[in-house]
Amino acid sequence: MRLVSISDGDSNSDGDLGARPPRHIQVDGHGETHRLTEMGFVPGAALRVLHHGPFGGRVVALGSARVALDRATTRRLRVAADTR
Amino acid sequence: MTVRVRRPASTPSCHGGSARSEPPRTGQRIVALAGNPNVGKSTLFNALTGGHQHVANWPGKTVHVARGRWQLHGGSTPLEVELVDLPGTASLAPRSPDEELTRDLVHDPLNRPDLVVLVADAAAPARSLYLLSQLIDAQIPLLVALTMTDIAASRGTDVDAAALAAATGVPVVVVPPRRGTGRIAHGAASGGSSTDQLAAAVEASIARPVLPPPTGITWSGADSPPRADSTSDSAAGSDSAAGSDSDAGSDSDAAVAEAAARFGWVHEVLAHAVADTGHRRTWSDRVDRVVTSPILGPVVFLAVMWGVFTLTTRVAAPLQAGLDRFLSGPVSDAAGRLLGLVGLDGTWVSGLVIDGLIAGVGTLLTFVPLMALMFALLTLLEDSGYLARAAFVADRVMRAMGLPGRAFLPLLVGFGCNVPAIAGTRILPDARHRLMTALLVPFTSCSARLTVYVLVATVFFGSAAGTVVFGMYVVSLLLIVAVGLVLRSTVLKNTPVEPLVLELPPYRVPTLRVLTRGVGIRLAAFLRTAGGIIVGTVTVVWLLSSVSLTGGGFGTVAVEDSVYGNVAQAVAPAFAPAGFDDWHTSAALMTGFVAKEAVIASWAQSYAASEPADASTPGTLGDHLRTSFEQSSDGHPGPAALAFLVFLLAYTPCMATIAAQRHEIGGRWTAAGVVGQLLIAWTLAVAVFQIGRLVW
Repeated sequence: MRLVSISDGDSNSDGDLGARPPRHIQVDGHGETHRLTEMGFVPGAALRVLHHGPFGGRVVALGSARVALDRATTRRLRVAADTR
Repeated sequence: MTVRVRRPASTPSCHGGSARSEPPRTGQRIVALAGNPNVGKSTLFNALTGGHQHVANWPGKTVHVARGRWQLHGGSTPLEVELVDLPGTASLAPRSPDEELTRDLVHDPLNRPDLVVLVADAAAPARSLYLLSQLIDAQIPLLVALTMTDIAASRGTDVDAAALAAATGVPVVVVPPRRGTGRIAHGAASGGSSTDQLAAAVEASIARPVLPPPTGITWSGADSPPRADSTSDSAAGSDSAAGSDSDAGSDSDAAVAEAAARFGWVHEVLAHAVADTGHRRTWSDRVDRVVTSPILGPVVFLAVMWGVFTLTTRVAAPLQAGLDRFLSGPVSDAAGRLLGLVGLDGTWVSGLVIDGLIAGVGTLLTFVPLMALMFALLTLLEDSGYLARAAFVADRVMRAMGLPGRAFLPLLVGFGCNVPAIAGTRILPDARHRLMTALLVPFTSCSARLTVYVLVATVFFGSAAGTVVFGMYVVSLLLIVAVGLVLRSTVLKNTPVEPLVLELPPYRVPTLRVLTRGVGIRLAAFLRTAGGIIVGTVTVVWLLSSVSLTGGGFGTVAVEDSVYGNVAQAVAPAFAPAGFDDWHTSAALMTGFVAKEAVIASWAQSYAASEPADASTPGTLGDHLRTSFEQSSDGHPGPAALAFLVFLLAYTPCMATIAAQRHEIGGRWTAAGVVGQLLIAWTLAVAVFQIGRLVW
């Protein structure tokens, strides 16, 4: 399974949210891992990048929640590449 | 009176003694509302308590907590509980003093609430359930109040409350507070409004407390105290508890594994209770595509901020001026006539009533439209969901100063007026960020200072006046950044600058009822705290300027003979190194401590010159000022005038700001801020004059 940082991927900005299979996350590195885990960024949870924000930030869908992340955090979140 | 039987805690206690016994409690029952930020907790709290509430710091903490009385039912045996609105909490492993309070409270064997109502967001239930799993393992009687079911439905998320109750072992009441309807999912009550049903469920839980079955997840805090606990104990009295130390500790593999295990439990519960029809793209997502985009996002952000600024300056100003005219005109005249009828006009009594009390109350009242507008805008921004987007867009810029993106708003509003700006620091969820922003706001150059800049710059710098005035705003910005960096590396050293991981709540249309109630409650609280300070200061200033030291008649003394004038003369030498040691000017600065709007009037009064109607045409007052500054600066009036302007910018804005600061960050920090501002102002003024004198 190829893992890519979510800062690298394109946002799935068109069409239905469910059109592509959700991607599965893994948190890299140290520091703030606990906080990210407590937000629900746990291995196996489904995540989808919705929007690209200013300064490299991303808005992602994590289950039914929407979470804004800054650039540093998006680099540490790795997801399994789309399996289309 | 019901007898409470509570099963003793089954887990080994981390608080020392084993098998602790419940202390007998005869006082009022305490019910606490807990929940993630932005789940409608405060809205529910306001709906349940109505006006019967007060907001204060929790004893021993710098955390604002609203407490109120909630009448569960009336009738022959009315039952009332004390309702505590705990700060928004994501987890019982705290990252801020706000979150620590919830953790400490549910673990405190002596003072913990009789019941915790977890307000859970049906639209994004995972994080609410995460907190629920921690509360369950804290073994405290629980109830879940499920909000936002309407939004959840529109997102294709359907939460089955009965299944949720069955899966968690905690009673669940559906409460959409914005609509006022609801149904109970667990228990016997039916019919009536949602708050009635919540009340019935709370009453039942209090009468017969039942502890939920533990989740079975080994809590890292069960055997050894959580790391954050030990840091807060060892660092008692400091604000560093949730600083970098505990971050490193809570990032241990065990803590991460526990959090992941809890989400395993959460996903199991969700599988039972939530029929998610898939990831449907909502209209919130469509709006966010624009509002959080790299280019249009900042444009929308700046447009909204411009709107807030315009409303708190241009729109509020005529309202303030109108109220002021009404009070200093018709109201004062009427009071004068009334006093005349009883033969008191022209005496000290009429002076005290008209120039002291009515003027003081008038000053206070002119803040009412401004504050109401500010509170309404804050509520709108917060409840609509836009504030979270603004925080995301402005994050990178504010982070340079160690502040979150939301801090942009109070700092911007400060350029209009510092008083609502201080109140605006409430949008910051972290108490340390609130404190830092509230200490920075006085350095934002408010519009009252502008009139003094214009007058002084016109008098001393002629055609370069515009540049000087613009320069004052540059100095203001530099001061904010410099003081912010100093605060960050000294007093607030341990304030963590966390990466941005921010949940964006779905957009909602705020209801008028929630809006007006919120504004009313906040306004009343402001008037209660600020009223005494403002009315008191105006009255004291009147008194000091009416008492003569040379034996003249009371209330009809020349300024220089009054106690006020004498104090100004005593203070003046302190400004000699800055080149403006003149009692007219020190008197004006003393007045400026009360309100910057009155600085020019004070000068005019002390020079017995007419107050210029327009600051850009100073008239005879300008001549007086030129002569005074020429003398006090030994022939360097330009540098002295600049030094004066810098002092005026940096020292305490006005007593209303002090009153607002005391309300938000407490008396001690407010006093420290005032001293800091005076030191910075004086040092800068002296530096400007001494350097300016050499080159000019």
